Amino acid sequence: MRDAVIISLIFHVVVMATGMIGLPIFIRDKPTEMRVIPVEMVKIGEVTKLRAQEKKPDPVKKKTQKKTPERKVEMPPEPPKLASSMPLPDMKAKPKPKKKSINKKPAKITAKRAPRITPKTKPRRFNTGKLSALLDKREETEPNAFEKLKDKNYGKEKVISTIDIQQQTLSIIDAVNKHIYDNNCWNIPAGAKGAEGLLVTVHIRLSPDGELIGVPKIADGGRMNLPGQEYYRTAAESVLRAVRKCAPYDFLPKDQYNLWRDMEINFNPEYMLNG
Amino acid sequence: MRLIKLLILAVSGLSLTLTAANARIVVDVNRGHADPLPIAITDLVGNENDIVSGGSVKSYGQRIALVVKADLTRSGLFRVVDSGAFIKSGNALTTLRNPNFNNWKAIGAQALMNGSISLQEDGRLKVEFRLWDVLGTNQMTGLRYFTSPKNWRRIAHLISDAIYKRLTGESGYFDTRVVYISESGPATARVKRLAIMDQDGHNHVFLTNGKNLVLTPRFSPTAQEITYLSYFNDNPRVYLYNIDSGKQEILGDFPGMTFAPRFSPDGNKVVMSQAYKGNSDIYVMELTTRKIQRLTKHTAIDTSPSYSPDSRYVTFNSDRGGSQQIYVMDSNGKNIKRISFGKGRYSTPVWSPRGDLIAFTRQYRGKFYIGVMKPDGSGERLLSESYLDEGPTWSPNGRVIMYFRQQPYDKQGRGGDTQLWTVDLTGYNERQMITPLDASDPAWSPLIR
Amino acid sequence: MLEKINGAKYWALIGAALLLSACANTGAVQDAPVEPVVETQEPVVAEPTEDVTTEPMMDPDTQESLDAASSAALVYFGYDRYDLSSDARSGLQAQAVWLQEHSSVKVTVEGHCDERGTREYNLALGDRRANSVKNYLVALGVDPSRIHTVSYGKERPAVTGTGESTWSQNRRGYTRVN
Repeated sequence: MRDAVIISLIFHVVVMATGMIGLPIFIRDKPTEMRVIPVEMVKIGEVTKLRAQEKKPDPVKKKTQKKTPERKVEMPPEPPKLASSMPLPDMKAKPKPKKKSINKKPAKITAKRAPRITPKTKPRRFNTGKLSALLDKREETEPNAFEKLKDKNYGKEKVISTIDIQQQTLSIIDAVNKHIYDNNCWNIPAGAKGAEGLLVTVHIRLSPDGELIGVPKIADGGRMNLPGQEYYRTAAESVLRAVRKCAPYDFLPKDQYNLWRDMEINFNPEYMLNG
Repeated sequence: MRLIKLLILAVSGLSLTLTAANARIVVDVNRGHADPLPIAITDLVGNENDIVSGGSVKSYGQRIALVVKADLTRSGLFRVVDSGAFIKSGNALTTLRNPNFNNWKAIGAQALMNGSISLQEDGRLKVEFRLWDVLGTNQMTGLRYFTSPKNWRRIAHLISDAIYKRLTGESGYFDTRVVYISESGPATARVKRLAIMDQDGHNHVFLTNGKNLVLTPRFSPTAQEITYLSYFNDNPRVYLYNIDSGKQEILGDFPGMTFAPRFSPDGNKVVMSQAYKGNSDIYVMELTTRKIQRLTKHTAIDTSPSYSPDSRYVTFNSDRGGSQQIYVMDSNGKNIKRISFGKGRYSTPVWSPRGDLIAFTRQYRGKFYIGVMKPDGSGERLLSESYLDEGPTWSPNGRVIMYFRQQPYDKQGRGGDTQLWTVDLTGYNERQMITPLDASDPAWSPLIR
Repeated sequence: MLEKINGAKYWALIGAALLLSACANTGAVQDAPVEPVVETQEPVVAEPTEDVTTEPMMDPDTQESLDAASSAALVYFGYDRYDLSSDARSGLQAQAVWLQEHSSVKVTVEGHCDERGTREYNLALGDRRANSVKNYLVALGVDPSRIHTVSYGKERPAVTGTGESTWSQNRRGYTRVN
């Protein structure tokens, strides 16, 4: 009984402590996690594929490694659709470059995004990584039945709560993606020279009704007006047209407004072009 | 201690639920459409009562708009919004500088061109246009031209070029011409004439009378001269034709047949093949000095040479490897490298003006294809396929490929029709060019200045 | 000098052959004794002497004469080939004989292709074919200066149509009397 009380006490104290110390860690850490997921470009309805994420809490490292191959597997089915609609009997060559590009992409994105995120995030992100790694080790080195049990329970709790947000986020991401695709909002500047380098990121802010507030901002807007960057300007303008044409985004769940008030959308024509 | 750590873990899990709500959503869009951009083109506003030769100023405004619409539509990158859907609002002139964007948005237009045309005191026309971003509600470009009424088509093409350039980021190709071989008569006694026309088929002119067989014309970079093959006196030789003067001259004094000529990018040289005693090799002639340099020396057939836009390389086809394949060499004939390795036969390589691709004809299993590959031979894509597609030529912006297609004959001996076609580099938007007679061997001019 | 003698022998032979055939003809007429149109042939029969009278009849330095002597002055090639088949060689041997008999005749050998190749390559291939023909004729003793070559690539097909039976007729070398 006494033990229970003590444990309970400790528990509460720790809750408070982590609430103060740990919270900021995760606030900032979270986005990077979420970011990784949508790259998979799931079709809507594949939200259920979160199975993969459920395993997440245990081997953090493994997961990130696993994901890249997963993307590879999932992506190829898409481009061939485009291919088949084109009168190119000789498309066999396509898949190869595509795989390459897929490999490239995450690197490109992290590289491009990293500067945009406040510098603080980086170290913190690594903190969690280390933390969980440490924990993992403990579990391995000290296989205590009681701990394991507890861990499992907590783990479960953690998983569910994470999934909740991730699921919400994912479904918002998917919904926006689907909305943009289904409404033909984005017209890809096809055939442009050097389309590989034409990833365009736009920041939009939305009202609770899903209307655009202010002017959508091209992340690399300065580049638009540089001489010799006409292709980039064209790509950026196609993106501006896309986000404007797609407004209002009134299909988004109002009760999660804080999730989607500010959005960053990366438009990447790479998969659709050249190949 | 262990316990505490565990607890921390648990709690931090909980805290996630509470805090992740502040995350910013990042959406990655990598699916889109390659649909044409919807654009509204209004008639240029002009005075009905101002009459110049050929009609009222207002009618010129309408005709120019029609040509612009046709240009943009043919490119495949634009969809011209039906003018029947236009929502009339206010005075045409006052809305020129202040379009009602909501009205244009309502009918699905994402870009808008409007403008005006008026008669100057000197008898010339003043033509102005503006291009608007309907969704972004701002002007993207605006230009003004002065010209005599008879040049109205060129003005229209210049406007098309400006719109195309502003919206696609690459220069246009509408103010250009095409020289080609006009064909008539039965295949066994075909009459072939040099002919030239605007890129849209207008202003068609025959340059030769058909008495001599002529083949494979190509423009000089100034678009003032054409080099081609003529069977004058039953002696097939490469000739030079000056479009302005109509003057023709034979190029060089070769003992054998010269053929497959093409200008160097600076226009100072013509690279061509000579067939002598059954062997064809590639030579280059400097036009001012008439000095000849031999580039290849091989018992194989080396022909269809084409310079890279930087003049550093020449691509050609050769059967030196056993079958016809594409090769690239330095422009002095050194470092010959084979770049095509696919099945079948590859021929007629033509370097893109953009430099990034080589277009070619490929034969495989009884079919002919027009395709492109990178200059190192990688990234081959086939853009067209038929019984007989041949002879690609690039639009000056490297975006469109024109070639000719011959139909097969049926059992009654009908067929053999030969026409010019264009296809976008993406493989979309394959279109037939309309010519007065059958047509082959097209060559696209550079941008006319 | 040799050529002349050969020529004389040739004409003698031809004259004899003519005589024979004339006889055969009259014989046939007698078998079916209906037509008395023998008179025109008689003068020919009446002049069996050496070359004088036979030459104007046989002489023609014409295309028709060459065609008749050598399977239409044509040789055919395989797809994307320019080597000579045995048929082609025997045709060319007949051409060589005729050319030696008609020593003042100059010819142009045309090289042709089917339409299953690109234009410029076919011009080169036609040139190869024309030169294959020329080289063989020269090897058989014809003076090279009498033979001009020209390639028409795929520009002058003999027949129109689609399919191998058409194309094979268009892949040809043709010896044209100038």
